[in-house]
Amino acid sequence: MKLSPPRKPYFALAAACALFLLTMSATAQEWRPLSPQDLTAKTPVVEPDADAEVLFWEIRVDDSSENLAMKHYVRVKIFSERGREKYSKVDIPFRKGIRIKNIQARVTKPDGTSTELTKSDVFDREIAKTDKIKVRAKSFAVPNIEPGAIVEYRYDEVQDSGWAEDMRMIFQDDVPIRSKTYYFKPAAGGRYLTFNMEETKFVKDKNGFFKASMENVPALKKEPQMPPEDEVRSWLIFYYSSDDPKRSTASDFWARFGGGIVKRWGVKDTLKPDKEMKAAAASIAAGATAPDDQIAKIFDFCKNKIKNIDFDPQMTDDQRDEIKPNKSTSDTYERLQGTSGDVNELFASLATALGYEARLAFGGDRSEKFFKVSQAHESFIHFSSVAVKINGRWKYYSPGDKFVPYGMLAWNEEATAVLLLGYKDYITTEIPPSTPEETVAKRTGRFTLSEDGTLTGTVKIEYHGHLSNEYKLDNYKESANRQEENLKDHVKANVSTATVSDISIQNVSDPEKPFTYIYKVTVPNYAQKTGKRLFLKPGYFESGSQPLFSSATRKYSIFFHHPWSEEDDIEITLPKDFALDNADTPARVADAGKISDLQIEIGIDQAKNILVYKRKFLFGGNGFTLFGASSYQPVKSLFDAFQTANTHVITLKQR
Amino acid sequence: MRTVLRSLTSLVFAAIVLLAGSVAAFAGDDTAPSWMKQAASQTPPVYEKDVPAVVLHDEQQVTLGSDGKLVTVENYAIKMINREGRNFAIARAFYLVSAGKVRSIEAWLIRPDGSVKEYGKESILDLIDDPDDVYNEGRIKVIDASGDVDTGHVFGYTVISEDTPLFYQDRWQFQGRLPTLVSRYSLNLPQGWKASSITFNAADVKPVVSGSRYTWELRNLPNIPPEPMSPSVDNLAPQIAVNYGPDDRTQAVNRAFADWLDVSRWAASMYDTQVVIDDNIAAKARDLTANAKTELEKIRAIGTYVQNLQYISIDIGVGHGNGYKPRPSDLVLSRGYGDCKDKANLMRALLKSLKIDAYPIAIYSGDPNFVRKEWASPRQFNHCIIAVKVSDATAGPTVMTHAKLGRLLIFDATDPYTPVGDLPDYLQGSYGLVIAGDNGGLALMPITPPESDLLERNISVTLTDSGAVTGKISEKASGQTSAYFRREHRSLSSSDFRKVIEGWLTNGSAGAQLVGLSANDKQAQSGFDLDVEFAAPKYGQVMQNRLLVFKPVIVGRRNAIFLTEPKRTNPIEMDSHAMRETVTFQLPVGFVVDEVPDPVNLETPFGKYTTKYDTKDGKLVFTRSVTMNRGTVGADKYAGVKDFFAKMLDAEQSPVVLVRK
Repeated sequence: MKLSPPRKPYFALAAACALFLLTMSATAQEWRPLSPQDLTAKTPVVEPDADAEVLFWEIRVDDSSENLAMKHYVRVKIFSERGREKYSKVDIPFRKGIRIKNIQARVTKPDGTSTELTKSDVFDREIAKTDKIKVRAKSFAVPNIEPGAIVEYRYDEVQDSGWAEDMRMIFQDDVPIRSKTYYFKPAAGGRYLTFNMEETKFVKDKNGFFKASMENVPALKKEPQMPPEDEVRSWLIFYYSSDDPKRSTASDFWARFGGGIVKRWGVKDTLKPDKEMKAAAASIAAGATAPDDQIAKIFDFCKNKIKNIDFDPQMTDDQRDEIKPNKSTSDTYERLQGTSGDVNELFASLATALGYEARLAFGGDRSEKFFKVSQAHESFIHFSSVAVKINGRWKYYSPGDKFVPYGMLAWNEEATAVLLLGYKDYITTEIPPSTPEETVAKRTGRFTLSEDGTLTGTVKIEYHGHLSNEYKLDNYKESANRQEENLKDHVKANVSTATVSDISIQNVSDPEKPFTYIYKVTVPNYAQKTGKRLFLKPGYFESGSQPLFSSATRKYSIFFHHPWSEEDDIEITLPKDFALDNADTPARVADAGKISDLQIEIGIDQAKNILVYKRKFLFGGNGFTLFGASSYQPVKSLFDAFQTANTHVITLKQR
Repeated sequence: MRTVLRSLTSLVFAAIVLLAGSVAAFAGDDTAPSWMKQAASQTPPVYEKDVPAVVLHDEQQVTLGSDGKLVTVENYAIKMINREGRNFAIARAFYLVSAGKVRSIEAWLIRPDGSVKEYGKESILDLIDDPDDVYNEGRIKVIDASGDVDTGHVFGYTVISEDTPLFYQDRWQFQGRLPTLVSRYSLNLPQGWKASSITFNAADVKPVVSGSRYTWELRNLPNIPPEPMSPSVDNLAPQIAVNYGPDDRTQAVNRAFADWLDVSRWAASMYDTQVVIDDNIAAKARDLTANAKTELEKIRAIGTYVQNLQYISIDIGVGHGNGYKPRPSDLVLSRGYGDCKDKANLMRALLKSLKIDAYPIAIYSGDPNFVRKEWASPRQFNHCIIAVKVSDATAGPTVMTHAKLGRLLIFDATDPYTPVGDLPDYLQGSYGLVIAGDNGGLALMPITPPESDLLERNISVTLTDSGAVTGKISEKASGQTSAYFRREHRSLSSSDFRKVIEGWLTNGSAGAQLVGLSANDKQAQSGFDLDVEFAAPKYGQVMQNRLLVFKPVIVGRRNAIFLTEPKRTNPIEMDSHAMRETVTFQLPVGFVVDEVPDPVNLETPFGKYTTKYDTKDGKLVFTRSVTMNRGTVGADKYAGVKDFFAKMLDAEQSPVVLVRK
């Protein structure tokens, strides 16, 4: 039997919701007629340089009976060799409980002649199997496919006892689509949320189906620094709900969601600690009186005294599997061990035990999607941190994130809407972004330049904030050798001919201290020599940087994960027979909105013949890390100006 | 590339993840087999810190039964030296559905404390070997313990598999990149059978013979470090090729081969019957060559058609030899797709209908040094191309003279980017088996001269007194260089190709703008032209309002090489190509050249590089020229090679200084 949720015969039709009704579908077995225009078309309609264009793509989803039945029908016009390559083979993967039936395909050339797929062209393959799981695929090669041809294929998919709860309906793909339509016949009441396709709604169609269509959908393409795919692609999510759509709001949804979490997670136990937990909190915070000091103490306890099994590089999968899950914060406290979530819950308990109002924060994950409270679906949020009210202000902590410094959250958890869950109610608010100053790379170089242009010296780089977290996550599981190789790759990405030695990598697994590199470097021909001059880029750390944006045009918004800053302090002892010929300093590059700032100072210690280079850079001021595509040119110009200044050349002249 | 739902590769990964979640944990009281315990008790030497693991024991025991079945027992144990070694804790067993099976696969983990974990049936994942083929009988059973192991752990496995050998031949590579303490291959043959071996990449390894059991063994093999421009491991690791068979050779027909002629005869029996010339084939050949006037034009017309057919591989009956047998040419024509041997065979049929003889060539794709002439075996090949018999009227760098067959034009009908008259560089200089029955045999494929793979670039630039430039780049590529550009151009949409060119320009100067772009693919002539118009507002840097400094190298070489490691273990392999560039700068009024870099003239056996600067009539003309010769340079000459590339790089970074008059 199908596992049916509470379903009611109504359906929301609010901002992003609609109503479906029950009826039957019809199945067409004949190929639909091809238009002469499509057959002879030489150029695509939606995007002029497309390799192939989907003429139509229909998916008919029938969730009205015990099984979920889907009918797929795709028609594609091929315009180039790349399009031919893309559509030359078709795989339809499926697992146990899914049947793929009635596969048909044909290719029609511009002259109208067709080749149909035969039964023997279709292969049933076991892609992967274990003693319990089997993944299969129906696969076929499309015969006689060539540029100019139209390829069509269709098949039926039946999921035994399947249902469409939380089904994602994708309207945008990596090829342009002239028309994509979902026909949907729900079991009962249901709702959906649309994304990046606000104009599209399900409307009543024939035989109990509802229909949602998009026309002329451009292909989804990758661009540098773009937001997560869910933020740019056109898609919707369907779900069943027992709420009265006419009266129910997003707030009602979150209230019900929160209530469910409170029950399932035992939030009351977490946020209403017992005597033992109070005693523990008092003991841990002993000696601290100021709220921030007390919170810092329990944060430190949770982060450093509780073994976080999600971050133990020595723990193998089987050892992790053998650990009995903690059922309460008391378990975590007594065992001094737990998952990241356990650690955060314990922190919430201890904070509450000290008398602070603490709540479990459920927020969006900005690496996946930018969460808004109005988007009432539980898949968009997760337990991300703990909010503690200090002096009337919510502050956010996540000691379960081993390498995120005190006072910060991971970049994907900050700057997002959040639900703060207590055991009686919830509130919504926004977690603020971090500042550029919190995520800083402090880079120091003490170099000597030889007469032949070779640069040798010692480098120290300290990464703080998000950068520290990212470097630690990239390195803490690796061997010392791999960590060194990572550094060499990092250096050579900037200066390809550099030789790195005497490497020291510090604080790789330290929860708070900055991730630090110290190394010696030699770069032959770092400065270019002509007859009487040496040309030198004093900004060693950025000397090999490439422009961040190269394309003249932009389709999607520009997204930086987090604000950051850089402080470079470089001294270069110049060859004794050379003196500074020219040390023009690049002009300051900054914007009026104080989002970014680059200042470079170049000086000379005449007595010691040492060039002194200081650089300060920040980006993401005032929390600005997302820019609309219309801002591309100014953003690109800004980064071009940064790059020009960063790679500024000075001249030394032989005495 | 394939389409629709999800890529199968990602699906395979998803399946692996599913499995990882489904494997039950075992108690720590399991027992490892004695061979593994013994292997684990060894103390390996201390290796360089970048060696992630050491193979303690690598053994294959192969037994040919009187029923003709080959049973292979593989015992393998590896110790993790550091955390990167975890990725090697995977047992794999390949089998062909039609001709073999894996009887059992078991694995064990011995932790440093001596406790043992055993991996049984629940841990086995059975996968298709090549998700990209529409159908392929090759499958692989996998036990992945990489998540369970850490430094000091020993992982080992035993695989027992069974198959019917297609040939009485085998190959054993004593190691991969990892150091190996014990590597052993043993062959148990029926009474009266004999075996012999040929050793590659090492001194002759002689077997220990006991009755009809032969054992080859090497110990304490050092690691083979990965290095750029290095020969493949196949050409560095010691290996043996083994031939075996009964005394009565008549019992081993088509399974054992005395020489390459023997292989040619066998292969011809697989290919020749598949050349089916029906009315459709004949009509297609006539249609394709309707406007062709010469022999070469006919070959080109048919070659172009076949190489543009969709590549699709459907491998059925591989265990019975079908992996060496093309599908009938009439079927391939009607379906409009095929793999390499299908394409070669179809081309052969089309040519034959025009009374032009052609022969398939079995070859190895990817490493021209892979095939060894000392071992006559079909097992050395993974690809099929074609040799077309041509008259004296047809000439070119890919025409070779065969002792028995005369002049042959060599062509790869699978590579869609290399036209008739050229050959992919990864096949040039390789041995290939010309499949022509009694007239066939092994032959060395032609090598085109560096001047055939030429990039000629002319750039004209106008420089202003603020350092801004506007200019035009005109590139003419030929040979394999044009194939490289063609591949890039065809694999990208026009907007994506434009972005690549924009990136190429901006790497030379921040803020560079692409003003005009025109690509002209002249595949038939093995050429590719590219014309670019650009502007860069901050190309040169003005200093003290007096000097104007800029790099004469506007755009980089796309195949720049960086050799930075101080020492080298492996030889260096060089590809051949050539580039000639002339950049003409119209200098800003009021400025004269103050300094130019010294000209460079490097000449070595493996390559030549020159730069030159000329100033005349307010113009600066910069020329550079590179010619690299194909070949292998010994590791002892590494310093010279490294110095050569370093000097090239330095020359291309050096600026020109103009001074205001």
